[in-house]
Amino acid sequence: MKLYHTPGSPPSRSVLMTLRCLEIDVEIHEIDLRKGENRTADFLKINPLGQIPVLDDGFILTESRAIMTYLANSRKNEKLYPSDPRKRAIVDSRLYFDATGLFVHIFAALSPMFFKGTTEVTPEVREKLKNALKYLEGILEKQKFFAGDEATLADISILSTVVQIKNTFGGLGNFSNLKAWFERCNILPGYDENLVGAQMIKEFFEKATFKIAPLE
Amino acid sequence: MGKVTLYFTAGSMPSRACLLLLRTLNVDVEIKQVDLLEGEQHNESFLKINPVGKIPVLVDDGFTLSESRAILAYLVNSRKPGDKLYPTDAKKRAVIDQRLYYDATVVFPALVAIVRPSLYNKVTEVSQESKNNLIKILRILEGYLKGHNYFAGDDLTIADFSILPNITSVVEFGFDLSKELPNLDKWYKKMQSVPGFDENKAGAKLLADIMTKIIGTSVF
Repeated sequence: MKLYHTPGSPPSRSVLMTLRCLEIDVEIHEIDLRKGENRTADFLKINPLGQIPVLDDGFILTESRAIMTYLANSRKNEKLYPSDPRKRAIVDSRLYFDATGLFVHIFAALSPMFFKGTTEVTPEVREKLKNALKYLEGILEKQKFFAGDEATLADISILSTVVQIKNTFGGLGNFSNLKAWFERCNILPGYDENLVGAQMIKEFFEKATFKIAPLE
Repeated sequence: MGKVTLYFTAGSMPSRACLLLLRTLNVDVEIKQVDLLEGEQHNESFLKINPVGKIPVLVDDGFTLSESRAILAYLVNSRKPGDKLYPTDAKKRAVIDQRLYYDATVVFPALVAIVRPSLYNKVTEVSQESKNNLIKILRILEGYLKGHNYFAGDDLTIADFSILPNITSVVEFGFDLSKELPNLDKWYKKMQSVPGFDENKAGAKLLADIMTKIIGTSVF
């Protein structure tokens, strides 16, 4: 099994962390996006869309959360991805929320900074991120993890995105449930590796000539 | 079986995807309309049901679920587990899930980018960039259909249900699939026999009419 992986990318880190949680042996091929390694003829043969992560398990699979659910399904892992329709539905709902309601906004904030040299998070994007975090904070009022009292794929996916947000804004503002959840996730295999992957965001802002105002 | 309610907006593609599947599965559903342009999704009463303020929302015998594609998966998992619509084989399911996430993160947002400025800010022109972006994506969808009847292989699956309302809207916006996208055109014609298609088309036409009123012409 091969994983084409970029440590700086939250979706890529989520797939890697899922592999660690499932104790699956994988050959990691690192792809440096800033060097355009996802646009080489060789890589485009593997994935014509030029995106990472990509899993090669005898067939090519893209979309990080589809890869995560595939891995959990193939190992029939009940903890990470319960088979009960309602429990599974909540995990799926969180995964889609991460994709379309959380990650999309931090991506919109960071991409222009990395690839176009912009120097601020627009008020609109900041507002969207805060509302998304407020929603997550609310979920954690009544439970320890995002799909119940056990960690699931939902937490892995959201963790990768939240650490990216944390490293961009220098913290998680006043979201105390989120902060507690963030620490609680350290029981998951691959946690430290996930945080290390997000270091490059921290380093980017340490070197930057501009500062991002913290989340209130 | 308990009561099933769908919080729904006719112009919304994800809403229509869920309703199409509910019709196909023959589920007795109560539709509750939420007027997005009037901001009803921000009302306290709706936020109690879905704190994130988005539609569609499914309430199934007391169980509340948001995110259209999670709803699609749940409906098959709960009512027809193992059905071809969403098989339990990990690899087959993975292909469907990939199409669903591609739809969620690329296809649908491309359509939103086309309509949002006009719907919410009354911008009277649709940007050529947003149209070109959508066409690029349609070509990728065309590629997925090469050699296959449906988006995830030779069987109809929830991937098709998710993508159908988006293509229906593209067609109602005036785009001619037959010109350069023969696979998509063939698929779209086949999908017209899915229960609820006309209802879905009416929703797409409603949205197209609203857009035409604002921009003074059809989108394409």
